[in-house]
Amino acid sequence: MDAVDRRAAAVLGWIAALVALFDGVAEVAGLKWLQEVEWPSDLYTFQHLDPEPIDVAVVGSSRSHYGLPPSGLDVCLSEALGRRTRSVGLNRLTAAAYAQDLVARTLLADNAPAVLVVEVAPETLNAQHFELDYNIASTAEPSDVPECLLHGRSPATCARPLLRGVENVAQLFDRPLADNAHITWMMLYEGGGQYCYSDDACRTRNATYDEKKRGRWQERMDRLIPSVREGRFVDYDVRGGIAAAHFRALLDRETARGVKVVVVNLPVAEAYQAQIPDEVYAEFLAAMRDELGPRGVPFVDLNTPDRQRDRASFVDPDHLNATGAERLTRALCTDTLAPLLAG
Amino acid sequence: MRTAAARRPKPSPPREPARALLWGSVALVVIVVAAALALPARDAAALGEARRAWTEQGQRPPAPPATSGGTRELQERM
Repeated sequence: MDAVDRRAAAVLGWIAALVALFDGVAEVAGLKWLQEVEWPSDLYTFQHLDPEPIDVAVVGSSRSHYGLPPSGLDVCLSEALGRRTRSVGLNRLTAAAYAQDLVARTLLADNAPAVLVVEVAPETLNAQHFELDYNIASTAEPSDVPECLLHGRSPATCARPLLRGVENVAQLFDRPLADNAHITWMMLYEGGGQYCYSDDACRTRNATYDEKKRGRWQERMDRLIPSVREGRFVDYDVRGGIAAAHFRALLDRETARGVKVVVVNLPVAEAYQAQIPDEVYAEFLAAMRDELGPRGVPFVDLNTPDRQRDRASFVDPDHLNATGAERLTRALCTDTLAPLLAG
Repeated sequence: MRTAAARRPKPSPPREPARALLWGSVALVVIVVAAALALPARDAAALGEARRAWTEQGQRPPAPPATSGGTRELQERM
């Protein structure tokens, strides 16, 4: 090795040391929970709050961010139980079961909720989940790298937990959430979620938001629906991949520590449901029965035909609006969560 | 025939600018790392104070207006 080689090695060594330093700092400071998007939940704020008892925690994707707002659950649960309750929505952009497990594993580690609601959909456990690489890259911890490689994911994806510190630190200084103070407000005072129902100001805000989104239904019909079948349900496997493994880990860990787990299938509009092949949907329901039955975990199927047909309850083909979310949270609260919390 | 000037050994390039660059980089990294650790702590204090003001004294600021949500690319991935 001559002097030039030594100098090049030194430069590479310094770069590696810097990357490791930023990664360590980002991990210690929890900066991966800063998202480059104003929704779903403000997990960065949640991780900084002093631990308070949690009645219901929801882990899921944007579908539960819209469809199961904690505020709706708390309005109903407080009425039913005669006390103030605290629900939180810990949702991650395009979360597969992989991200759901890591969110619960990390952010609820020292504060077990009484009830954990796990949102599922036919996509959630799919080994070919359309955003699984993003789930891993943005949420995994360095200790998850070997498992990722063993599941045959690409080294570039698996290595991201070792390399994303620089971008996480950059996000801290860019503060994408600073322009979206409302999601911090929602996490601080309403437990997260897109909508709130605790006063008239909340209802006005909900209506304003849905009015802004008036064109979204048609836009998604034009741009998303034609690609759903090919993009999300080809080579469907809900039993063997890394997402299914984390679904099982989530169920086993939470039930072992006494958390009452409820798995909920949220409704989609019939335009979206029509894009899910029948055999895929049947396999999804069979997998739910096989995974949940032996564990004694209830499966609440809210994706009923009457809800699928209720176009007025949706902001787009797979997300509920404020009216739909209020109806859904009340149904889940009355039929399932209130009895569980009372029992 | 080589001149006397050509025979003289070439002087090394001045090292001060390289050293300044190195220490400047180190200082920058230290500042960024310190800020990356300090800002979350400051956020935690402010958020905890805001939540306590509500739970203990019922003081809650009005909700900021909801925005339309992320970049177009991210909205499409929702």
